[in-house]
Amino acid sequence: MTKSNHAEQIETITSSQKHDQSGSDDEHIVELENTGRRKFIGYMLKGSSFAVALHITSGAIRPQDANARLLGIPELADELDLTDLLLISGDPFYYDYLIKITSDNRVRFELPRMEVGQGILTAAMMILAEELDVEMSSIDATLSPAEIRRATGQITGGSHAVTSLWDPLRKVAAALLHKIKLSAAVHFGISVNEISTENGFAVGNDGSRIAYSELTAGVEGRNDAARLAKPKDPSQYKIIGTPQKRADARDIVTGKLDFAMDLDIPDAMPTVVARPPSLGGCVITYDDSEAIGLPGVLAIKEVPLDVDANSSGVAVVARSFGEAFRARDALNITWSEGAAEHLSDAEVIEQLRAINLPTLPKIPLATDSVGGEFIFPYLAHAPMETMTAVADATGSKIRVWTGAKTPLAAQAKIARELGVLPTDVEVNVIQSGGSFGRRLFFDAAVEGARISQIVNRPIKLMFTRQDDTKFGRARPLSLHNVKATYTRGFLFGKKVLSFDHRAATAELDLEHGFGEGITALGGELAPAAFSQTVWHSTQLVQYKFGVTSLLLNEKKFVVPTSSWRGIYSGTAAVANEIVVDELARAMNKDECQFRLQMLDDERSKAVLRKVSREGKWGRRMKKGRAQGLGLHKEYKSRAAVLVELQTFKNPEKECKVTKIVVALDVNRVLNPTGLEAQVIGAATDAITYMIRTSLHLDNGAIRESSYGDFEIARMRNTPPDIEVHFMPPNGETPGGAGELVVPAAAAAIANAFARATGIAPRRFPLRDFYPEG
Amino acid sequence: MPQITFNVNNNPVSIDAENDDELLYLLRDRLGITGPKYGCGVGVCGACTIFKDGELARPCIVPMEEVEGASLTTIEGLAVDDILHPVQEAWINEDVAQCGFCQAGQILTAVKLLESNPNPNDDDIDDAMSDNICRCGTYHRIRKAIKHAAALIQQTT
Repeated sequence: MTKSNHAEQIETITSSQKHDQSGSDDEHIVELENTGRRKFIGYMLKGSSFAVALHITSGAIRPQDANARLLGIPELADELDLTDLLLISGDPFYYDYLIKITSDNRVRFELPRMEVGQGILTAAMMILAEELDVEMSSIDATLSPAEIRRATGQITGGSHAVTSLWDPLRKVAAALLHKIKLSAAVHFGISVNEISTENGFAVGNDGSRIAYSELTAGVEGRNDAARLAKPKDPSQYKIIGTPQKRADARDIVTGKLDFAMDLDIPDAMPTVVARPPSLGGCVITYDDSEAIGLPGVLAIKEVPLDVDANSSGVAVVARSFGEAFRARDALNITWSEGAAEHLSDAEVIEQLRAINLPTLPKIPLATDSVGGEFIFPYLAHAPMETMTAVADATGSKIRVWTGAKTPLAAQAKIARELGVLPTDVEVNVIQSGGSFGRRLFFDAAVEGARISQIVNRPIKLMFTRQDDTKFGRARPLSLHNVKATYTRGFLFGKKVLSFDHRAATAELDLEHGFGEGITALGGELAPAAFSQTVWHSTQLVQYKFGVTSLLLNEKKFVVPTSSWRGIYSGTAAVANEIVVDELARAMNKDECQFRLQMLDDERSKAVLRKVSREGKWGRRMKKGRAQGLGLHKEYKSRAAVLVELQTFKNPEKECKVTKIVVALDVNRVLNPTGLEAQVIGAATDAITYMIRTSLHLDNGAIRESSYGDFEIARMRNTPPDIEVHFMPPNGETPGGAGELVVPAAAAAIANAFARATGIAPRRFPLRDFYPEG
Repeated sequence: MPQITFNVNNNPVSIDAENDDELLYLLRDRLGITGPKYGCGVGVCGACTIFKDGELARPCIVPMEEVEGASLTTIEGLAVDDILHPVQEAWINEDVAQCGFCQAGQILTAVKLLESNPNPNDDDIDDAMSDNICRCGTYHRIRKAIKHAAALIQQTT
């Protein structure tokens, strides 16, 4: 369906309150007769703000309208998804790269994205090498600092990095290559058509060669003319689509790759913050008399509340982090009670239950329903590198070195906190040790800049692992009511009538907006609108399930939050896929066959068939073991996962994933090696949060503190047997993949658990709630 | 002022030991040896792993005074004159690293495993490597790289 058709659909819905619609063969319309009470649900797009509102009108349809209908409306995400929103907002600023040809004929490239281990730097170098006809090894690539002119074009998140680089980087490189060829033509005195290029040299028709560096200095800044450039035909690709190892692999294995805390910034000294015993606690008084004289201590200062009145604590600057820790522990601090001293998980769950919107009322026909209430806990992102930043706010220019996926939002926030203009803040983006959504925020950069200003010296701020776990952000706790209704089918066979999802989640902080100052402020001022936008542009049901409606309500709690790999999909889409399995079994269908019959998406059917075949779906398994399936559609891509799971009656032993088979359709695979790594990493994440671990809010504080009690998957929790299959290129722009496999793998694990044990999984991690499995 | 003397990556070090700082922060913040990373500070993740007198150690929980006279090797000292250790070679060949933050610890732990067990099976690898956390989930390739390195080492000996 095209976008204009979608507009018509919305129009149809709003007008259908007034008149009956007969004769439509739209599969989304399900006729319901004899309904005693009629409800009408629709979405309405509100102008260009993308905000989506829910309208429930009881009795809007007159009782005498005997053939009143419930309308199944395609989800917004079917027509316009978050990837589109990111691309639409970023596109005006994408054609802006620094690609310099240096005097020694090397290529210096700055990537306006963030590398956190996902391999985007290597992927971008592949595109550049391909289009510019140079070797990968002749490119020196770094991450671009925040450039305010890039506005919404410098964000890394939502799995759209490759998609958003694809056309712009190819075309800017192609335009540069064309310019090189023109210069070479003049140089050789021949037609441009007679110039070829190879490995950084332009070659004339007689074989004479000239280095690119003799012909151009490269490009820098806005380059919109490149939009008209013609990149290579894919049939000519030599690098794109071939397996390429990480460009920084050698630096990593020799310990040479520098993270923010490894940088040698003159006079920047190790700094930690003494933080309150519970979330939101503030310093009332502190006594540093025992701490200040300890070896290596350079400064101790209270960090006042920030402009949003968020507390921080007392900062300690020392010669080494160990010395800073010791001085921190020697402080005597009196804290005020936190904002929610007695709040615990159970109360958050109760409050979310109270705000969750109702599912559709029972349809008084011969119907049954499956589903129930799912609860996903708070979850730490727990990247190996904690939040870190080097900051120097001692001069007129504030300088920060940090791992930021939204460096322009960081720049704006730092400027606001320090009372300077964003142009007076330099944010240098440093490759980081993982993110998983955590580095969409820049808490250490803001706090670090403030502390540097307060102590008037350059500092290296590091969140300890305990800080990061207890005070860092978390995936919000969420509650999901999912209900699928079907007819009992005495006469005509069973038929699915409706699929409802009502999510109530602790408010997800999306204050980073689309990565820069303006939408970040929007996200801060109108969080509900932003959350609804992200929910409705990411959540959909890809099955022909009649009336589908997926709604979100949120409530703010004291635990700071950030999107966790998959945003809402890491939870909501998993609950949906669990109910799809339950629906299949209720209708006496094989879970794979049922999906193939009900899917409305050919690409999803293809990846499902692939895992089903490669993973030998339906093979006989020993008692206590089972296979499970999970699908996910997002980021213009499709994933299917089949896992095999072994369960144990012994409550001491947790269930174990023994095999993983993944099939992926991302339109075109840029780097199979890098993509496979992302896929396996995502599946490993699913093991972590579905089987093993979570955070607990306990009397206003997070109970966990480190990897010792936040037990992410280890080597022995992951199977040696993992297969990843990619579908062939289909001519479309590469889709996203970083988060794609998380929901599919998580659902496959839960579904295998249900098939192995007969237990309907409703709470996670499984080992905490179903130890007998 | 009391001095503590030891050897790191074949370089002698003598430094004041007026505090009981843990070895990790001495290495990183005062000697500028940043290969060992801070991951947890309590010895449960393995990101800071080094060799101390040929044995695996987690310097985030090793008090400085314990290294008097010791010989330390960090990831920076594993390759000899730019010749990579077979485990490092295997790590590159299998494209193991994602963010790379834990890999120094993973590599040194794998080196130690292969010293004591030149041909480890999957269970041996599970046992030896499960105390090193990788948040990116590179375990599958670590497993392959260890087997790859085992083959490389057997070829050369």
